[in-house]
Amino acid sequence: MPGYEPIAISTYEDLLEQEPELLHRISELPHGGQLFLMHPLQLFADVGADLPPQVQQEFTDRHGGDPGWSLEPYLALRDSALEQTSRVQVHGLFRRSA
Amino acid sequence: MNALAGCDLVWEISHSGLLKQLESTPMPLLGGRVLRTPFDLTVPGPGGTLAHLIVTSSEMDINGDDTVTLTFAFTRSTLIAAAAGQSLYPLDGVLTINVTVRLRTAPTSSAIVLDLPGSVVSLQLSPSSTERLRSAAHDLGLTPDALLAGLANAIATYVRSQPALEVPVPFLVAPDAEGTLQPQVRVRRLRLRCLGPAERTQQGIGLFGALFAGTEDAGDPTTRDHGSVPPGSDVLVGLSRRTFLTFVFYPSLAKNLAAKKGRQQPLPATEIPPPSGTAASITIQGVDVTQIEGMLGQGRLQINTNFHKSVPCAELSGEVVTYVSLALNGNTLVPTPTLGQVNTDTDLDFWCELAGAVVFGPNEVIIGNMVRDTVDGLVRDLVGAGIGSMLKLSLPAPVPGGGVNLDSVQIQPDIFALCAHLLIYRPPPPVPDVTLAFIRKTPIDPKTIPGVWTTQLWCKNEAKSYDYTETRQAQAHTYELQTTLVDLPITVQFSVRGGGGPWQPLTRDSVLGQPAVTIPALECRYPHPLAAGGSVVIRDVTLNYTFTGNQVTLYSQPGQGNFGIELRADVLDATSQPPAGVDPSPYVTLAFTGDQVVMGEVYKSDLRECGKRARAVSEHYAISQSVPRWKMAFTAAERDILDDWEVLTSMPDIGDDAARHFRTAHADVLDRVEAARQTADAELSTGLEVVVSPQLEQSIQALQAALQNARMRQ
Repeated sequence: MPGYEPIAISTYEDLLEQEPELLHRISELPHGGQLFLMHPLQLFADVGADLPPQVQQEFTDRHGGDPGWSLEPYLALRDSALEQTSRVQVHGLFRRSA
Repeated sequence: MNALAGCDLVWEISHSGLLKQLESTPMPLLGGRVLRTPFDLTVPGPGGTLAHLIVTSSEMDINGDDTVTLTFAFTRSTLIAAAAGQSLYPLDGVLTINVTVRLRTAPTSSAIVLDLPGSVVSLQLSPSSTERLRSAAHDLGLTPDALLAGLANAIATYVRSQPALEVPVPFLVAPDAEGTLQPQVRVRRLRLRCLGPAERTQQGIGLFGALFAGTEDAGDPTTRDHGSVPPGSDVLVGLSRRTFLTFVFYPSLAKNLAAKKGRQQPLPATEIPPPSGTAASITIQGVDVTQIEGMLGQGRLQINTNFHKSVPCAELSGEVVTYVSLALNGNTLVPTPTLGQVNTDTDLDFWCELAGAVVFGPNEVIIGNMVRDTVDGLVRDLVGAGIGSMLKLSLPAPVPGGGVNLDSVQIQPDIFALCAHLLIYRPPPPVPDVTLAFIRKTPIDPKTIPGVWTTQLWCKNEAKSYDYTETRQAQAHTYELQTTLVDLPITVQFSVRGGGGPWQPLTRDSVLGQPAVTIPALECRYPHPLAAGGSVVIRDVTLNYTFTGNQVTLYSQPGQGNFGIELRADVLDATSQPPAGVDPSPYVTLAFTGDQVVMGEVYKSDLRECGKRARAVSEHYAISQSVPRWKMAFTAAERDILDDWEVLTSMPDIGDDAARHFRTAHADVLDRVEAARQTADAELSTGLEVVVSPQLEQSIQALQAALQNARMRQ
């Protein structure tokens, strides 16, 4: 995992504003899209956006509640250099209300 | 002298009957196996060695000195001296065990005891085996004589350290109580006698019982020198005349006389007509029965009955002899009474007029018919019908847990005997086998992490937050290579493979640290994210391993998730060849579970509710499906889970959602399915196929419509 310039996030709106940069950093990771699906909060932290608890909670609430995240598979995939049978590319990180 | 030897009762088991017993009773002496060859046996040898004996034949003799001799011939056997790194192979010879037979009696149970702790054991090696041991003795730090004597002593010590072998017998012994035949046989004294002529078909063990006060010392079993059980039968139960009359005939009579009088309980002895005298008489069908005497005849029972009957103008009295033959119908004795000689005295008025009509004249035909009708009905009703059932009840089952099949009835003036053969399940003899046996699975450093999952179950109207627990751990799996009837010592090479890769040997000579093997590109499963039904990661998996003898233990590491690999053992026997007649390379599939989620009760309860709907549909309509053989590796409860899974995954629309939740709830079972599927065995790839009947399809469509309507109404 490369080192990243920290991204300051204090509110959920800050997080939304940083979507392009976060998307850019995630897309450069070998399994970024899949890691995002596995544990987005950990991925934000890994790419430099360490979210405060209230932002984490708001992110979770706005996306249907905790879907059952765990670090176990996330770390296993992050540390594996092998090609995966399932590949994911993300083009947006947040649910946008119409 | 008949089989009773002057005693009240004899129970005799033949050579074949005792052999059946030993062939069906697991013995600690034989490592928990029954006496059926071939079998193998490992016993401690001299100086820390192990003697592995492959017994190819066994014989048994019952001897007249109240002993039994067991003779075991062994071949292809080995003396393993692990410390010296030597194995002396092949050895062959004969092991002889002479065991004293005695009787253990108690008020609650009795048994014939083969006294192994007091046995005399001898070992006779073939000349080539003797020479092999002599020439290798020095390498083991022993003199040739010390090695040979030590081996014989070690085997004798092993045999004598075994518990006595008991063959249960259906007798209770109570010296001060009255003897009985029902409901159990209880005697005042029981004596054992081994009947041991040279001819095995005449060998047997007899138990001689005393049932009456004063008969404890009657008879002499030592006068018996050969068995009485006829060929084809295994046991014989013999009753003396007195025993038969006391415990079979008169109880039967008392019961039937009571029934004729409409009474529930058998008549007491004081109300039963005696064999002689006129102390008691009983009136049945207008006939006064004054005496009844039962006897054992030659091949049949004999019943003498004295009677008296008053008719108008006449008095009839006399004696009738009835013979009862007993035929076997399956396990039932069917009595057939035959009227024998009738002696009648008739006192009548020569001309008797009653109400103006002549009743009697000097007409013998009329008198004879009347007498015959009277006694014939009497005997049939009173005696014949009850005897069979009483005899049936009186036959003691020779062995607990087994049955008997009656073969014949023998009736002689001094003995009534039933012969039967034993119905005992005898397990088949062992066959050569090489098995990778599961020993244990141990979690290492398990960590439990609580979690909450917000989701909407497919049969629910809204999302809920469900508690769950995630357990992360490493695991140690231990397997052992076990052999049966394989020439020892064996050489074992363990290998592993996974993800379709090649077999990788597990080496025993690691240079540094704990040996390890890496299985590349293995499919590892994780239950998270729960909403996605888990994830799959292709990764290299490194397993440490250790050996203990023929055991191997494989250790997973934290974070490796759930995965399946195969473990194989390639075996060579003492001849450095793959053992004949077996698969020399057995393999097993290991499912490592390093990451598991257990959902809370609320989730499970809600899911059960959803499952009920699916099951209702499934059970209502016929589903035809093939059941792959691999499913038999799962328990019945697990197969139910798989059946549910098949139904759910066959339902379009709701199938994906239902299946995801189902996988979360039963990840352990389904992961094992996945682990099995990863193996190269084509049989496993038949997978979870289900053929949905047209009726089920219709019902699924109806269910979907109902669900859609329900959602639209919200």
